[in-house]
Amino acid sequence: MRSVIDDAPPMWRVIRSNGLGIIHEDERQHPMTINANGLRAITLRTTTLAALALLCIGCAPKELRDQAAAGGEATTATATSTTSAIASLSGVVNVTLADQITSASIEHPTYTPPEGFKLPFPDALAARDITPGKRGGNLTYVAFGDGPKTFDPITANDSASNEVIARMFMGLVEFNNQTQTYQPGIAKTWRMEEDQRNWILELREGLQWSDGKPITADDVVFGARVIFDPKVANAGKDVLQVNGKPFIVEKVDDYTVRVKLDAPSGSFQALIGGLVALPQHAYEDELEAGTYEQALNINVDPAKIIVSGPFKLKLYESGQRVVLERNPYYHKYDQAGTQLPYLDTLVITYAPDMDQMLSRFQSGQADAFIRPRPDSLSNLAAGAAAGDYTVYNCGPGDGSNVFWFNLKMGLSPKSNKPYVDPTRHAWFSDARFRQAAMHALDKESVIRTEMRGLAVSTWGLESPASRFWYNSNITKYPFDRAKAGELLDAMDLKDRNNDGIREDAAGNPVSFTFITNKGNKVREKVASLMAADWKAVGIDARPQFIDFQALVTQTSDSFEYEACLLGFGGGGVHPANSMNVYLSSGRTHFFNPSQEAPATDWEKEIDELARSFNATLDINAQREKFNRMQAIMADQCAFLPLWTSSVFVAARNSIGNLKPSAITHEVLWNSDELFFK
Amino acid sequence: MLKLVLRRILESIPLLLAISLVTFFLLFHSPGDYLASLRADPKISDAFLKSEVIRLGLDQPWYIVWLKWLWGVVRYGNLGHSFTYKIPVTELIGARLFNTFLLAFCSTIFAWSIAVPLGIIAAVKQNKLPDRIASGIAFIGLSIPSVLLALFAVYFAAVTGTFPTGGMKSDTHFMMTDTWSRFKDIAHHLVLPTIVLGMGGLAIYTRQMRSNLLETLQADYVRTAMAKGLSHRTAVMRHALRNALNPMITLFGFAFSDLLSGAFLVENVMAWPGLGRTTIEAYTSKDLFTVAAAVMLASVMLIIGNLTADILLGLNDPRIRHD
Repeated sequence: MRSVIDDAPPMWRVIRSNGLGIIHEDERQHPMTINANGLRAITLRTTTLAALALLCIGCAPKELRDQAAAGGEATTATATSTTSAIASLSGVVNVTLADQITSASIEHPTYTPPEGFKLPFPDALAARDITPGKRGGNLTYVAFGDGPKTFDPITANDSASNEVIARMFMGLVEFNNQTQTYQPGIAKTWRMEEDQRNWILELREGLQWSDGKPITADDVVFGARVIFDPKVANAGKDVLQVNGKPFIVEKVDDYTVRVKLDAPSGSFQALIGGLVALPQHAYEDELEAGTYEQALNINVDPAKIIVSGPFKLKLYESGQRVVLERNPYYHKYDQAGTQLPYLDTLVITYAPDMDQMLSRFQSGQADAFIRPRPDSLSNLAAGAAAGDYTVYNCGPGDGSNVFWFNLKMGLSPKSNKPYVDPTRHAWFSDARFRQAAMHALDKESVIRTEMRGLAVSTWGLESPASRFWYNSNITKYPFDRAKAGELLDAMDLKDRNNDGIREDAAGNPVSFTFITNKGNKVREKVASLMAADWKAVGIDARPQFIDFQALVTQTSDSFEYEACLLGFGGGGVHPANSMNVYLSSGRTHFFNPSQEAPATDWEKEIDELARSFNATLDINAQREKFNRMQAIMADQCAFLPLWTSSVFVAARNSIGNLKPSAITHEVLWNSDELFFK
Repeated sequence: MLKLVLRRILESIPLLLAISLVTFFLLFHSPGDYLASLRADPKISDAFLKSEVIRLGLDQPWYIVWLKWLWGVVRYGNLGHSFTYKIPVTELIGARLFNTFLLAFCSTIFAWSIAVPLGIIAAVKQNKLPDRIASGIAFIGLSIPSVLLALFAVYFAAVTGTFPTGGMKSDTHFMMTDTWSRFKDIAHHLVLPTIVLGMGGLAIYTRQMRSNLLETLQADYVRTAMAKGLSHRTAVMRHALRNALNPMITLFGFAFSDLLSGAFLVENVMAWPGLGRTTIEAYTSKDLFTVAAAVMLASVMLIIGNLTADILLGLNDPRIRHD
């Protein structure tokens, strides 16, 4: 994510298959993350759960107790080793790229394609790097939450909807989670015209919608019409623009589309993922009648959802499951000539809590799920051989946990008082203060104890999950209390009355309050540990736990707070998604948002880099600029980055072509290639 | 009787108005709003946010929004559109309400059909073995919180595999072709949630039934009946029991509302796709009209529960005249 907030209710995980999304972060790996759902009941449950666990251990047969004890040992081992030792968690397989590509020949049964649709045709997509599988079977994936909110690729704004929609609608370009590159989808090529502004997209010829009608340039133009329709509320219109001027999408011929940009854009490849081909013949009437937003709602007759992707909707049972079945017109085939997808049906079931996910997987009702809770991981891994499944450690995810001080200047229009007390504002604005705060934190021990070692310490906003854009060569602030003390001494913040807390020359104690969202037990403990770390260097920091919605209001609207601790979700690995966090004018430049002119020289430099990033067409030159932006952020310690949790995936061994990844659509991103061995 | 029903319906109108007013007031005055999540999203522009505020009507004072909503309900029977799902809330909530109702209904049947006979046996065989067993069951039911019971049920299901661990239908339900196996599938999923949800009530009703009956058994008219030569059985069933049932029926009206709130909890732990989950999700995302509709529907169910109790009371005891 990129953007923001962690612990947002899962429905906020805005993520598109193209990686354009943003916000997310339901750190579901933590029991209380569910908090996002505001379930006080769940909090209550933790206590009872503990009681239950004790009871179960007490009355369980001996083998069970031994197993539990073994699990306990595994956990302890992890806790005492460093994060790199996660690998040693018994039974967990670390995902590497090399072992994922295998080849074998497998017999494939015969099948009857729809009349008039015959594979292969020249433009059909040949999947060459996969193990040819056999057709048939039903894969069940259990997901957290209450299910999709819509089946519309344009207005969907939450992770549950996007997970389903990405299976049903093929993008013009598709993001490959494994290589983290954009691949041809419905568009077979895309190239810039000589003016370096406009782009030409060539579409595959011969593709058909799930009702048999051809997919043409008209459908791409129609998709853009829907996005820019003033009656259709969607975030896409804010993305598909340069300098505030929307992209103009026009048909050149049946299979060629021109996208006109107001200025050259280096992020175009990431942005065209936001363009969607939609069946004009199916939804044009609804658009003209102004009822498009309901055309693809969750109660609509599945037969009315015309799709281009591997699966089409068979049925949706509110709050329970989505059943997807093979789209007979899907145009991808493997090297044995078998039409994809292999699976007859793909079922995504929804569980309201983590225990339900775990029990459905372990009881065989589900074939895969992601992000088991850290405390259930060792037991899950221990049962892998018996249950014929594997737990994969996919490495750090694309979310992160971040702390920042409020640097907003001026008077609050509501109270007519400064947003932040001027004395404290002066400390926060001094980079040395922020650096000292960073040096004072013992992140490693927090990761070991609270995160059970299942997280990686980070020093910038980008996650190591972003292989191309992540800059590892930035200033780091290792745990060093002496260094923190020196920096604070240099600011003339010293303990003048021997009470353990530093004071400035005027005698003001160095203290502040930081807000974080309540309900997340791990976060709450982490906040207290951080406060203790700061106290040890003479800074009096007091955590304050408030509702998530109230927190967003304070940080994005009223700005009346001193500092904030929050998780950012992942929204795709391309920097275009997080530019508004870097830009001083961005609303999500959290520590000092929506500035009219950059307040500091370094923010100005970042703004300029961001501008030239967007105007640069060479990806390597872009990377240099983005690296520099990350480096400046780290030098200034504008955000205090903490850590990124590792993503774990559990899946049956019988699933072929499984390529789990740490970024959004972790398991199902290649659902068309999955099969049962 | 008809008069009673009409009067009750008329009386409930100001009540529902007040409930909706309070609901809107609280929703608007609790921190954050539906757009909070969008505000934190770097891709979304201020212009878009502003247009959304206007489109959703969030720029107006809460009482204006309430009045407009009320007008829609009265004039068109329209409870509003869900912000999140973009469909009328009645469509969104309808199916969920049925699921919650089904669960609450089965639990009611379960609890009462066991509690009443158990209470009678306990009272008739006071201080003997059957009474002690019935009391034991009641105490267990009373002292285990339903959350814990739900977790036990999930654990039991996971370990023994005799019942599904959660949900309302199995993942293969859609493949079942005949109605009978579909019915069996849902019934199979209903067993554990029904027991969990009904257990608390069962315990209370058993105790209540026992003490009510004990009281009436000592009444003069029962002694008179026995003295007149009626068999013990007839005296208990015809005279004592009918009188002992009155307080139970009053209890029934309230019990129904308890069941609804209990169902929200059980739904979450046991993944029952009912109204509770939708309401909680709608509340956290501040999906105004969905929350309002859920609250209103729950209130209506409570009113209906009480009305039913009153009607039953009148049928059971001819002395009670509602007019």
